[in-house]
Amino acid sequence: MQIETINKDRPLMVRFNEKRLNVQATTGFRKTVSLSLHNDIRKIAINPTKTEFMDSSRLGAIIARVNTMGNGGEIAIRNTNEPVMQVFKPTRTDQVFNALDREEDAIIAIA
Amino acid sequence: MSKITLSVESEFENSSLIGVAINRLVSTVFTKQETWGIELSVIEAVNNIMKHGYRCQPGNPVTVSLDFHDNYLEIMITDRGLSIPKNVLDKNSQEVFGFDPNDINGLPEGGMGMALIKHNMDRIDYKADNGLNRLKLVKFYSVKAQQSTGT
Repeated sequence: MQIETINKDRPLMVRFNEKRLNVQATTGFRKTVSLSLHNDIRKIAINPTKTEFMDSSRLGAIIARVNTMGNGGEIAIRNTNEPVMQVFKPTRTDQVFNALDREEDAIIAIA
Repeated sequence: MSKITLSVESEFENSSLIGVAINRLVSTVFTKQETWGIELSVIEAVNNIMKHGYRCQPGNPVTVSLDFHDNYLEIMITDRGLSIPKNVLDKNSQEVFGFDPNDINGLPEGGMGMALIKHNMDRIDYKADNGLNRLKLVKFYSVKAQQSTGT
């Protein structure tokens, strides 16, 4: 997983480089994002392009991040990855996050 | 009809092994979307067994059997941990996913596994008897599958 803060006024960029986002990898995600988040960061852009599988534990971790950020928190996700959207669509969480075609769009949408 | 059984111990890295094996086995007779849905369903079930049934304790048995019938695939997942509570089994997808997308504070962080299984599979059946839990998942073949099997 690669996490990068583009600058303090922009969203935190999280690129999932793992092929499988499962319950095993989720603990690391929770810890890494928590450590990387500066207190005033309320916007996260996620790019799961390389991901071939994601289960509900990773989705739960993303939702937990949104809940922690509270009102005013936003997450945008690049939506070109079908296995990932297979989890987002039936859970209706694709309506919660901004799902966009390009990483740049995800950043701009919530900047 | 052909039958394949996969057996692992209750360690989370093994759910990935099961998932990869299931994907390869069912992708020959199901569409890509159906294959992802079946893989996701089995992994959610296995994760729930390891997390809730065995309370994250390693070394306990989990088996996943695939029966390729003429018109459908039957997957039987067995374990000897704590049984799935009735209220979890009976909860329908609408109850889990019926949240208001605009109410960020009301988003569910967990409890989505069984609802995802129900969404992706055609039938599910659960029996807990003499310490053995059996979750049966059924998926009927699509057009692609019926062409592959010649039915």
